[in-house]
Order: sequence, then C-alpha cells, then structure tokens
Amino acid sequence: MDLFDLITSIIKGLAFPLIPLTLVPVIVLFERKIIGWVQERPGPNRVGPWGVVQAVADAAKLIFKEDLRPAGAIAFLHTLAPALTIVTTFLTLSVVPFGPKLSFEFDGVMRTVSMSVLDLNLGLVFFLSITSISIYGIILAGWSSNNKYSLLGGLRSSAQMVSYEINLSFTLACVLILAGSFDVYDIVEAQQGGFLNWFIWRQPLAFLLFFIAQIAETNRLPFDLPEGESELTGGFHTEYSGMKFAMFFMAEYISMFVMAALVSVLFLGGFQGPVALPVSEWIGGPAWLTQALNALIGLFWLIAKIAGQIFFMIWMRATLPRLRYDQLMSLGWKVMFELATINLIYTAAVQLMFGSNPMPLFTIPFLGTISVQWIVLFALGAGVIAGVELLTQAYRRRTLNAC
Amino acid sequence: MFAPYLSILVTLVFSIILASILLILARWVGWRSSNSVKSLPFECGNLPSGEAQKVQFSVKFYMTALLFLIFDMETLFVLLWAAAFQRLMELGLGALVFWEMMFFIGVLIAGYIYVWRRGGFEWN
Repeated sequence: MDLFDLITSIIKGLAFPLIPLTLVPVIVLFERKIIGWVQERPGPNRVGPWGVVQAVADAAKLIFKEDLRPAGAIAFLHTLAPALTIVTTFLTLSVVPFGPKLSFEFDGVMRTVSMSVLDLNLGLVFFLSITSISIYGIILAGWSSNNKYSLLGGLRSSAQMVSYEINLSFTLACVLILAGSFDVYDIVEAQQGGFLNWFIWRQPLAFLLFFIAQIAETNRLPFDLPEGESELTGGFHTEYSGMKFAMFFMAEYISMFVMAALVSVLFLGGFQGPVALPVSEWIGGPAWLTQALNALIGLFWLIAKIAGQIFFMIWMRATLPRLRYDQLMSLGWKVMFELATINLIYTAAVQLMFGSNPMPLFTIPFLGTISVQWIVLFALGAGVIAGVELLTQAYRRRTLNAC
Repeated sequence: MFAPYLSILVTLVFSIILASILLILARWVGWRSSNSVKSLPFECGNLPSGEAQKVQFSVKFYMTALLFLIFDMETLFVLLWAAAFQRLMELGLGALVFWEMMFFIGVLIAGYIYVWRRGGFEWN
C-alpha cells in the first residue's frame, strides 16, 4: 500500500456513496410526481417551481420533528437499528461499478483504478453477505420498539427478505455461469459489444426472477407487507419519528438505487451503452480526456438504466395491489425457487453442451437455447394472465348472481 | 494486501459518521416533551396490553429461519461452483462437475419436497 492507493481509496470511498445520497431527494420527488400523475392529481407543486424543493422541505421538517421513544423500548437497540440499516445500505453500494477502469501514471508506473468503491474479485459474495446483515437493522427496529405492530412487521420483513434472498442467489448463479467470475468488471466485460450481448437476452427468466426478488428485498410494493399500513400501521418503523424515520426512508431509496444498479450490471450491460460507439476516438485529444469522457459516458448509461428501472418500480407501486402474506411466501418458496433451480440446471446444461462463451450470435444453438427460455417465459405470462382473467370472470359471475 | 479494503473502510467510516450526525440531529434539534401517556407504544389508541417483547409469535418464523440457513449454505456452494464452472470445463472436468452438482441439487430438491409435503411452506 502506497500513497496512490491511499489517495484513490479515500476519494473512491467518499465520492461514490455521495451519488445515491444526492439522488435520494430526486427519486422521492419523481416518485411522488409520477404517482400523482397516475392518480390524476398534480403531485407536489407548492414548494418551489414544479415542487422541486419539496424533498428538501420534507428533510428540514423531519430534522425539526420530535424524536419519540416509546416507554419500555430498548434505548440502545432502538437507536442502533436505523444506523445499522443505513450503514449496511452504503456498504452494499460498494460493489457497483460506475464506469470503466481508469489508468494513471504514478511514480513512472501505470496504475489502474476501478470506478467502484470495492475492487475485489469476490465482489458479489461481499454484496450478498452485506445484504444479509441489513436484515438485522429491520428486525432490531421491530423488536426493540416494544410495540406489537413493529414486532410483527420486523418478523414478517425478515422472513420475507431471507426467503427472497435464496432466489436472488440462485438467479445470480446463472449469470455467474455465463460470466465465469464474481468480479463485477468481468461480468460487465462478458456483455461487451452492443445490447444483443446483454445477459437479459440469454437469461430472460433469471432477469425476471432477479427483478422480482430485488423488489421483495427492498420491501417495495407489491411486496411491502412489512409496512402494510392497513394492517400493521407502519410495520417495523411504527415507533420511529423524525430523523430516525428519515434514515429508514433514505436507506430504502438508496437500496432501490443499488439494486437497480446491480440488475443493470448483471443483465443490462452495466455501464456500457446499447451500441458500442467509440465516441472518445472521434473527439480524440490526450489520453486523460479520452478516459474522462469514457468514464462520464459510462456513468451516464448506468444512471440512465437505473432511472428506467426506478421508474418501472414506481409504476408498479402505483398500479399493483399488495399481496397477501401467504401468497407472498408461497410465491417465493413454491414458484420462484423452483423456477430458479430449473433455470440454473438449464443454464449449466446449455453451457456444458454448447461450450464456449461468449456464444456466437445467431447460430443454431444460440437461437435454440434462447428461444426455449423465451417460450417458457411467454407460456408462464400467458398462464398467469389467463388464470387471473378466469378468476375475475368467476368472481364477477358470483357477485352478479348475488345481486 | 489490504489495499482493496481501504476504500471500503473509508465508506464504512463515512456512513457511520453520517448516521451519527443524523442521530445527533434527531436528539438535539427536535422539539422534546414527554409524558407518561404520550410515550405509550401505539396500539390504535387503546392502552397496550402486556409487553411486546414477551409476545409469543408463530413458530413458522423459526421454521423459515431454519430453512433459510439450510438453503443459504447450499447457495454458497452453488455460487462458487457456478463461478468456477467455465474454468473447470476448460480443464475437461465439465461433465463430472455438472453431474456432481446435479446430485447435490437432487439432494436439495429431495429435502425441498419433504419440507413441502410436511407443510413447511403453508402460511395461514
């Protein structure tokens, strides 16, 4: 370890957590605006033009709110829980690569620096382990509040998160088979050369399962059972107010950002654009300019993909009703676990039979293996839609007869 | 050797400082007034009955925790196998490793079916 490592580590460790931290108010504003539009109302529009300062005003309000602690609560754990949640959320961020690696000349030697906080070849294992630790924050918050709703919310939340974490890991394994490494940079590199090489085309089922599992992990609708207002009044954060509540809130939005970034890295080519354009070569100039330009383009594409996914999550929140708890658990254990296992075996078998990676595009084995997955996916989708349609028809007939 | 971990240490310290600042703000900036009724835990306006930490909750949560432990241990093995699969194929061990994992997943599935038939995934 020398001066170069020290400087770059400090810069990386401080700069990258600031990206989602500054984006939290933006995401909150967009969420409220979009949900407003879906429900045909203007959304926040009083504080500043178009309501842009609304999130800042909310933050200021939350700072000056009273910090309540119910009688009989365990003071230390009640204070520790939001801190633990937000710290682990920042640690999960550390595996996200925000752009291509940079290289600098230092002391006459070329050194490379990754654009992620943690440049570790076991990055995704680190991510999974930190995700497991983040469950402690929620269960401690639920248990230390001395409130039955909080306790139930915390228990439900932890049961839900552990159930979906297994699906998360199993679908992750499919991507690892294709990429052959735990390193996020290797995974992004395996998807080089335009959007046809992105893993979403080869692993549509894994993408779908991972997306559902990550929504359940971040406790977003339609999986927000832990916070179901109508039955648990607020779940694990019922007894939190002011800044401590804001910490849970911030952690939720940062983890949305991190999960969306991870989906981008695993399935959507990470920081690469949909078409490999050598923009920096067209502009030319010295090497540092090229590098800076590439880094900015990478950051732009990653943020664009994250923004698209966050929009989709907000859309889902505005559209879908909440699941019942038994439906949630049986979806996780009975449906998604099976599909993830079958997909894993299928991916490994295809890899074994057709060997080399990256598989050449538009050959018979490539189209064959991909079309099987897409047919399965469409059959599943059609089955779900038909089932829902039949159920609603039967329900309508019954209610009509009752009238 | 520890150079890659230095940046994560910086992030850890940064987030701990941030969390402490927020907690201190919550403690010192906010308005505070307390009385015995106000500090009661929320229970829809009724007086809370008993201590929440002594509530007996469903044994299903323990079951889920146990199942998670078992499956998560196996997941770690599957993840390592998946990451090494291509390299093992290059060494000519592909078929052997593949069938070994099929045997392992078969044992896993047997346990899974057993749990399912014993009603381990039923919530009501």
